[in-house]
Amino acid sequence: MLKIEHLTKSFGNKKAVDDLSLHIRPGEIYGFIGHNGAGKTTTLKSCAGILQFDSGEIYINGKSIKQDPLGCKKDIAYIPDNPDIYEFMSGIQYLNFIADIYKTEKSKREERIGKYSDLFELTSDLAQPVSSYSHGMKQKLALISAFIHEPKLLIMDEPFVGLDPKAAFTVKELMRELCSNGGAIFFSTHVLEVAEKLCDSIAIIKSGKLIVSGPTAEVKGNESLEDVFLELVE
Amino acid sequence: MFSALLKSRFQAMFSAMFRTSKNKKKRGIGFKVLIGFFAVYVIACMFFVFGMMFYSLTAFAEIGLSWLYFAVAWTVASALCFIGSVFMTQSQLFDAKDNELLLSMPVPPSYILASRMVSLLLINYLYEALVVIPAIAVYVYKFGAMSAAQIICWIVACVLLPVLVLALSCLFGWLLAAIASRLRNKNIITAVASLLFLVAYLYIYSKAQYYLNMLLENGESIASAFKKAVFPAYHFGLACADGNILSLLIFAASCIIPFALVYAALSVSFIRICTANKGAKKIVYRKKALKTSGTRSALIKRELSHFWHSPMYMLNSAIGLVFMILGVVYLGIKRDILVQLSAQMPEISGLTGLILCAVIVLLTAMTCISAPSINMEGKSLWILRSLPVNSKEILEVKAYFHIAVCVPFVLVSAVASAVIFGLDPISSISVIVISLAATAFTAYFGVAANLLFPKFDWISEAACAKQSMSVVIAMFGSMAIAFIPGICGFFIAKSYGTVFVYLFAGLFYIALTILTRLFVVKKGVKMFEKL
Repeated sequence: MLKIEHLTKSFGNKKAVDDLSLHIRPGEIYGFIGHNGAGKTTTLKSCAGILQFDSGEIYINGKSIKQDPLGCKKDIAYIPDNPDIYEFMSGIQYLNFIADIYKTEKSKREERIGKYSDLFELTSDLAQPVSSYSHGMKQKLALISAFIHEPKLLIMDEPFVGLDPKAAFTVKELMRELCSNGGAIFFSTHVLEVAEKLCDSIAIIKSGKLIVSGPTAEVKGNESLEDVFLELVE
Repeated sequence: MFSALLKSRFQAMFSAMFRTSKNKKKRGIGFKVLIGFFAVYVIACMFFVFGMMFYSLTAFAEIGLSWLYFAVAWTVASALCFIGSVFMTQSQLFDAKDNELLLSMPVPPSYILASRMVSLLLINYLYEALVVIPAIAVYVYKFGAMSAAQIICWIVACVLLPVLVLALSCLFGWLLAAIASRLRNKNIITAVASLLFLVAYLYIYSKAQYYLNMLLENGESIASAFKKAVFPAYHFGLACADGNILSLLIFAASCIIPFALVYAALSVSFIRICTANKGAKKIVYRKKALKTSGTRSALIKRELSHFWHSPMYMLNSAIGLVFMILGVVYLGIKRDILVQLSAQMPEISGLTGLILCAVIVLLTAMTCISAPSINMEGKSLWILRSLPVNSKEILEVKAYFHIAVCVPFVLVSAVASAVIFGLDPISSISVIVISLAATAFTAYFGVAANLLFPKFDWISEAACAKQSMSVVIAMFGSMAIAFIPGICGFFIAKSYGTVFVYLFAGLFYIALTILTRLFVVKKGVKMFEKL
C-alpha cells in the first residue's frame, strides 16, 4: 500500500530524513516512533504529498507521489499533529467542502458524515463555527473528514493528542475496521503503550535514520516497547 | 520582569516588520530600503497636508487666539491617535495569543497590561508626531523663537497627549470586545460599521476646506465652545501658546487621572476579560440534505466564505470597489458641475472616456483581493496541499474569485459613467473592455506577488490583509503599471486620436494578463508547491 524507498529530505544543512525505506502492506497498522525532531512529521508529510523531498521515491498503491500526486492523494487521508482547520467555516461546511473535493456522492457523504459525527459525538456542534471548537473537537472534525471518502491509506501525525478516552477508543476501532477492509494506516505516536497494543508493525527513527522496523513482536522481543525504544535511541 | 515583557513586545513588533515567514530569516537590504522609502513618502505627505492646514490656522494666533491653534492641533492629533489605536486595543490587549501563557506565569496581570499599553502608547506617539511636528514647525516658522517655558510646556504636553487618548481607546476597545463577543453576525456588523466609518471619514475629508474656513470665520465662538466643552484641549492650548504652567498641570491631571482609573479598572478585571466565555449562543445542528459542488465551485465557495467571514480582509482588499460605487454616486449627483468643468478645459475635451478609464483602472489597482489570498491560508495551508487538487487550479481559483467579486462593480461603474457622460459607443465599449482587462491583470498580479512574498505566521488576519508585502507590491505595482498606458496614451492621443489609445491600453492589459497568468500557472505552481 505504501512503499518508501531511500527517502531523503534536508532543511538547509540538516538532514531531517536520511535514506529511509519502509514498506506498509494492505491491512497493516504501522506505528512510527521517534524522539522530538527525529523526522517523523517530515516523513509523514512527504508521504501525504505536502512536502517535496530531495531524493528517493514514495509509492502509494503502486503510484508514485512524484509522478501522480493527485492519483495518490485520492487514495489517502492525512491528519496533521495540529488540526488547524478553516476557522471561517462551520463544522458541516468543512466536511461538505472535503466531500466536494473528493467527489463523494451526496447520499454517501450524508450517510458517512452522520455516522462518524455520531460516533465522535460531534453532530450537535456541526453548525458551530470551527473557531469556537476546542482542540479535541477540531481533532474529531479532522478525523471525520478523513473517513468521508473511505481512504485506502490513512496517514496520521499524533492522532490521539487532545482526544477524550472515548474518542480515542473510537479512533482505534475505526483504524482496525479500515485495515480489516484492506486499508492501511501509517501513524506517528509518542504513546508507546498504544503503539504496542495497536500496531502490527513498528518503525523507530532517530535523527532522520531508520534504526529498526518490522512486526511489533519482532521489534520488542521479550521486552516492553518502552525499554526497546529507550535502549535504541540513547 | 516588566522589562522582559516589554522586550518581548518590541521583539514581536520588529519581527513582524523585518523578518520573513520562512525560518524567520532576516529581510534583505532591498526590502528595508523599500520600506524606508515608503515610510518617508507617507510621512512627507502627512507633514505636507497637516503643515498646509496649520499654516491656514496661524490666523488664530494673529488675532490673539494662539491657544486655539494648539487646541485644534490637540483635537486633530487625538482623533488620529484614537482612530489609529482603537481597533488595535482589542487585539493587542484582550485577544493577544500569548495572554493565557503569560497569565499562567508568575507575572502580575497589571504588568502584562502595562507592557501592552506601552507598545500601544509608542504607536500613538508616532501618530501624534505626524500632527504635532508640522503644527510646531509652522508656528515657529511664522512667529519665531519661543521662550524656555513654552518649550518645556510643549515637550511635557506632547508627551502627555496620547496618554488620555490611550485611556479612551482602551475603554472603547474593551466595550467593542464585550459587544462583539455577544453578537452572532458580528462579521456583517463590523463590516457595515467600518464601511459607515469610512463613508463618514470621506465625507468629512471632502468638506475639510469648508470646516477649515468655518473654523477661521468663527474663531471667537469656537474658542468659547472649546473653553466650556473640551477643557483638556483648552489647557493644552494655553500651556503650548503661553507657556502657562498652571494650565500644563491641569492638562497633566486631565490626562493622568483618567488613564490611572482605566488602568486600575482593567488591571483588576484583566484576567476575567481575557478568559471570559464568549456569550454567543450555540447553534444546534439539525441533519439535513447537503448541497454538492464540483471541485472548482467548492474552492470558489471556500474563498467566498473566507472573504465574507473576515471583515478586515473584505474592507481592506475591496476598498477600490467601495470607491467605485461612491464615485458613480458622486458622478450622478455632480454630473452638471463636472460637465461644465470639462467644457471650461478645452485641452481635455474629447478625453473624457480616457480619463474615466484611467480612474476605473486606478481603482481596480486598489482592489487587492488576490494579493494576500495565499497568506490568508496561514496554518491551514496543509488542507489544500493534502487534497487531490491541482496546484494550478488552486491558484487560478484565487484569481477567478478576485475577478468574480470585481466584475459587477467594474461593469456598473464603467457602464454608469459612460451613460452619465454620454460617451460614444466606441469609447463606452473601450472603457468597459479596458477596465475588465485591468481587473484580470490585477487578479493574477496579486497571486504572483503573493507567491513571491509569502508570509504565513501572521498574528491577526487584519495584519495579514493590510500589511502583507504582497498587498503593498500588488497595489502600488498595479498603480505604477497603470501609468504606462496613461503616459503613452497621452502622446498617442495627440498624434493618432483616442481610438488608438483605447486599442493600445486594451492590448497592453490583455498582454500583461496573459504574461502574468503564464507566470502563475508555470513558475508560480512550482513556487506554491515548495511553500
